[in-house]
Amino acid sequence: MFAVVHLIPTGVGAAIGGFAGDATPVAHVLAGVCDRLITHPNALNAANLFAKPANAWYVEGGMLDSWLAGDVALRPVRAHRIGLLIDRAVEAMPTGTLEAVLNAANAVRAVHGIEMVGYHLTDRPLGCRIRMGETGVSSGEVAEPEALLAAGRHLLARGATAIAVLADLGELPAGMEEAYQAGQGVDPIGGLEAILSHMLVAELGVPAAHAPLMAFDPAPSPVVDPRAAAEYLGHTYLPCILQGLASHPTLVGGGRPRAGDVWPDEVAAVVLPAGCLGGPGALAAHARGIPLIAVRENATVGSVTAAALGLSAGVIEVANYLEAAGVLAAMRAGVDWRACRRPSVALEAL
Amino acid sequence: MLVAMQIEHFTLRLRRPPGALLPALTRALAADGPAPLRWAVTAVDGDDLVIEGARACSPSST
Repeated sequence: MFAVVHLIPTGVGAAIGGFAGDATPVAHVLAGVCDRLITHPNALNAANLFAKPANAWYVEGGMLDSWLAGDVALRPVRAHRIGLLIDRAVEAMPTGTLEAVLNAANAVRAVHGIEMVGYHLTDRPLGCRIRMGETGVSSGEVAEPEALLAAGRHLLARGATAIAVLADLGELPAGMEEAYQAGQGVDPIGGLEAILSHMLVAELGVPAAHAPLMAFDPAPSPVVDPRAAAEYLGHTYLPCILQGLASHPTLVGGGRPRAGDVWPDEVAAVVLPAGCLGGPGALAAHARGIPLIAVRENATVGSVTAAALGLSAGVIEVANYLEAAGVLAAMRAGVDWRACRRPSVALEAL
Repeated sequence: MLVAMQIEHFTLRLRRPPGALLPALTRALAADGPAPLRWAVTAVDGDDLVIEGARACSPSST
């Protein structure tokens, strides 16, 4: 098994993957040089579009971090039963909002044959609010987390094995939507979306993914940056997360290993933006001795590089994802990738 | 665990620890409050690391 992890943290303004599924071509290239690509919603979610490579696993980011840090395996799942969790704030949104959500869910059921147990509204609005961190990353706050968890438990009690959550994320910071449409700046909702899904995964132990609850607006959309365009195709962003969750692996610890399980020690490399080495998944992988392939072209608002963190070994910096794929191809072939570069370096006495 | 709590953004600055980073950061985060739902080193400022994330806090602490 030659497994590769592909990380693009959300809410950090990544030039590739910081918009709406715009890292999907990269995922296909990386998937082409490994047996199993393990990635996360931010790297693949594209609102109404979803084009996961056949050999890729879609794993919620908090679960992916836990897996990289732990003594546990990811186990493939044939098909989940998804429960749809909707923020009660929908009742105060324009007429047509809930209908658009239910049409999107029913369309995915009809077209993709995905099993869903039903939908459930939280008993009160979640009170989500976007916050921008002092370094420019997007984050957020949730006033009523217990209402989220109670609704999740309700769905699990009715047979759900994974949860798709739709929350009203509140007002966008001034000017950020326009910048995002123009292909600039940070996706302001990404950080809060990650918080909501991490909370469900951490507290309920099942896969979860979030899509924003968008106020129904029949007005025409402007022509936006191609990387953001997938979010302007319809009235919800729900279809991608339903398709991703449908076969989301589960995390298993202890018990008898099964064929198909993938353990973190089997990861050949983690590919991620060069300025995003400070997350728990990247640090856990580095601590395990898994090489980090740090991609300079995928610029972000951060500059938490190998040099900044003092990680002197175990990090391979490359110019772009095409070079990363070359390094992975060399590793898979059992070739020292440095043998493909010049100048050659003579063997040193130790 | 989260009953009567809110999820809030936090920022923590600390001097770069010697030795392995992850265990030192995990200890620093545990000493600072409840286990975060999400965190990352988001900037390096000289010898200081800036960690940002989100975690459960009592509403009265806001």
